[in-house]
Amino acid sequence: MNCRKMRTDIIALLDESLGEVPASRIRQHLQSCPACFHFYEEQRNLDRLLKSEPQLDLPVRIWEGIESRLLSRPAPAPPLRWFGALFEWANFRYAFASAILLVIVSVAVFRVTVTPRPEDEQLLAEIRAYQVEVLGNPFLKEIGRENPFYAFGLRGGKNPFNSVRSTK
Amino acid sequence: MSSTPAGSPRIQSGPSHEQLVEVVVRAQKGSFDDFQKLYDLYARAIYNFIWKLVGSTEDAEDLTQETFLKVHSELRRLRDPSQFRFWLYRIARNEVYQKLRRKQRSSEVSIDDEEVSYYNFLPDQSPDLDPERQVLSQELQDVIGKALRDLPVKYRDVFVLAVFQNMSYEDITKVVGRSLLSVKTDIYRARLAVKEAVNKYTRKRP
Repeated sequence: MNCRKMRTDIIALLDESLGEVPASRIRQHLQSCPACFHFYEEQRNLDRLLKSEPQLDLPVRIWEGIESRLLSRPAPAPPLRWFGALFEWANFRYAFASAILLVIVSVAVFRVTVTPRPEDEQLLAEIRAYQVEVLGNPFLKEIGRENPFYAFGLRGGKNPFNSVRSTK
Repeated sequence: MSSTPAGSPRIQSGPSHEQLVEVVVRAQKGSFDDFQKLYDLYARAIYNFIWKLVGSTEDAEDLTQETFLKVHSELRRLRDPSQFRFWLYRIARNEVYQKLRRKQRSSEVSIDDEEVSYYNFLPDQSPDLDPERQVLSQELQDVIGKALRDLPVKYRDVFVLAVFQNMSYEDITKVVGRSLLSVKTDIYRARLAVKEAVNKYTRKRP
């Protein structure tokens, strides 16, 4: 066993900060190593010397000073009932604000992407009507296949926003 | 001066851990009486802890006051009431460090100043000691005090917590924020330094 390395553990044993297994190992070593035992005894005597020193009594004026400073501070504003108390909860405050923001953004995105506006609904109706018209006309159907709008699933193929289109 | 020796047994009398947590929670909600209970429970230990670090009762009084004022204003931010004791010691330690830095910046009394004596107000009044032994005891106390003052601050705080506050190494890591190995090593080095100072003193004595 390396005695130098064990010295910190010997100190920890004295300070009652060693686990049971390493403490048992140290005690066994102390029984067989005079140098380490001498070191242990020296430190134990120092411990007794240090801990024999009395502690100071607490001066009363410390609390008097604390009390006078606290009582002279202005009283904090009362919380706004249960909601104010909840809002004052530091950790919840930021989460609550983030949640509100998330809800607002989610509602806005939902309304824009899922629910069409009245003007969009009208346009969609026109596109559907146009598709029916094209589908029903075989000549226009032929033109539609060469039109890039065909790739986007518009079966008629013709760009409903252009009034004039060249045809083959 | 109290006759209670430093390093009293780790099993303390007083409220149980659960009761203590309840006191902290009520103090967090604004109960001044519970804050005072916390003061009554911990102030003496904190005062002695600070005194050992700074070496002056005047500074120790000021810093103890500042510590508890800070505790009062920051208590609501303590997330885990069961960790109150470590949090309190951290605040006290930080107050000491700030004081030491201010002193060094303003070139006031340095933490290593020879004039600062821990024990010049503490004559041993034990009726069992004859005057010569009282003087010896006083001198030895001064030697120990100087040895503590000469320690680097990072050794001093862990040494004081282990020896005089009787805190376990694991608890000390929660206060100082260093690893267990670092705490063990620093305490070991501090003990060697203090032991060496005491040895020098005893060798000089006839």
